Amino acid sequence: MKKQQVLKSAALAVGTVAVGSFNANAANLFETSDLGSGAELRNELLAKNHSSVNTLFNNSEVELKCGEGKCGEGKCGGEKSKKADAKDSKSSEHKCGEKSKKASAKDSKSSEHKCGEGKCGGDKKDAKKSDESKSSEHKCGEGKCGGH
Amino acid sequence: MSLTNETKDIQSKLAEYARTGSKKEIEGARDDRLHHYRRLVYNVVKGVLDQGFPIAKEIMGEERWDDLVFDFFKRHKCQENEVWKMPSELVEFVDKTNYQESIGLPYLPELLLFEWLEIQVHGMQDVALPNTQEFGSDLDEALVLNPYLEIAQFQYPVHLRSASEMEANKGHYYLLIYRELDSHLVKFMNLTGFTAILLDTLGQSPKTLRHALNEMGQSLGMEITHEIEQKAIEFIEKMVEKGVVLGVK
Repeated sequence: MKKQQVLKSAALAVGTVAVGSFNANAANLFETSDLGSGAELRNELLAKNHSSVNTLFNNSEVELKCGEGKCGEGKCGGEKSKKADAKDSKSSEHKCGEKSKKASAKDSKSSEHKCGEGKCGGDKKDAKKSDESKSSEHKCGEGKCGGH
Repeated sequence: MSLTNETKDIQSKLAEYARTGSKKEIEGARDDRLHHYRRLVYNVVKGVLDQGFPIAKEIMGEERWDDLVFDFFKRHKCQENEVWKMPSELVEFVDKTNYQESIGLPYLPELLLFEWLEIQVHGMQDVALPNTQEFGSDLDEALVLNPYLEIAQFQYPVHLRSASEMEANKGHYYLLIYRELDSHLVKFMNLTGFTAILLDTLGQSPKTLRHALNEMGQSLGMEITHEIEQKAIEFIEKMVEKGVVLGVK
């Protein structure tokens, strides 16, 4: 992680903050804006990016409508899964049992991750990646078709 | 109870296989079952990273994101012993490998850092809070900041703009990330360079607003006018309201 990106001391900050940013009147020096909670900001950015991503990559996948993909290709229901991500809170209980009070925070970011609680029999894609043997255990219908 | 060397050896071999897929003789392991461990471990890693970086995932697209996660899984030896901290290692991995260059997303390291900081601030260890009194809008009161905060400096407006606007708006951006004491919600605030340094200066140790401003004036070679002092008081009042400043000592 680039340490200079997270300010740790004034000396460091003064050395890296743009000098030009202080050639302004007093009011401008203190102009701040609330961006909301993690969940609010994340949803906003996801919505912004959702519409702009298509211009970044030539991704024919996004043009497919449900039903155009083949079962098992992971297209059908893909949209749904992305939206679900946007709504999902991201953190919360990452600490495996610690800080249970934080789990109640509304914009908590995760779901509880415990060792060994992987998505057994989950994404086909995952299985393909993690297992070069392309195990034949995944039958049509077990993968992403229809979303998570 | 410490593990025997034999157990450690088996665990290390299994971990190595889980990450790289390269098979070695692992005592007691059944070849037809071994690959399941790899799949399970990968799914845990991917699940944590998917949830940690939804914006990066959205921007990169499923395929590129999966490639990154798989590359990370295979090439990076995670050191953190708490799963929730694993996203910070992805940030380091991308930074160290210049991964952003290979996919043409120069802002990727900052985007990942931005997303990780929310997790980091959310998971900050609870500390005993000092007793404070209400801020009396006085320059000479020693201010106490919320201990659960980070201030980040970005070149790309990863917290403000969509991916398509990022490179055209390269500049200087400052972001405050803090955890509310009561709700435990992580909140974000876009700062100016001046307010970023001011909060950073105040956060090092309780000091008065006058002291912090004078320190900044000297460092930056700028005159701290009466108007700046007044605006600074208003700013601190706002920070008190938001829970960024807890009060005065």
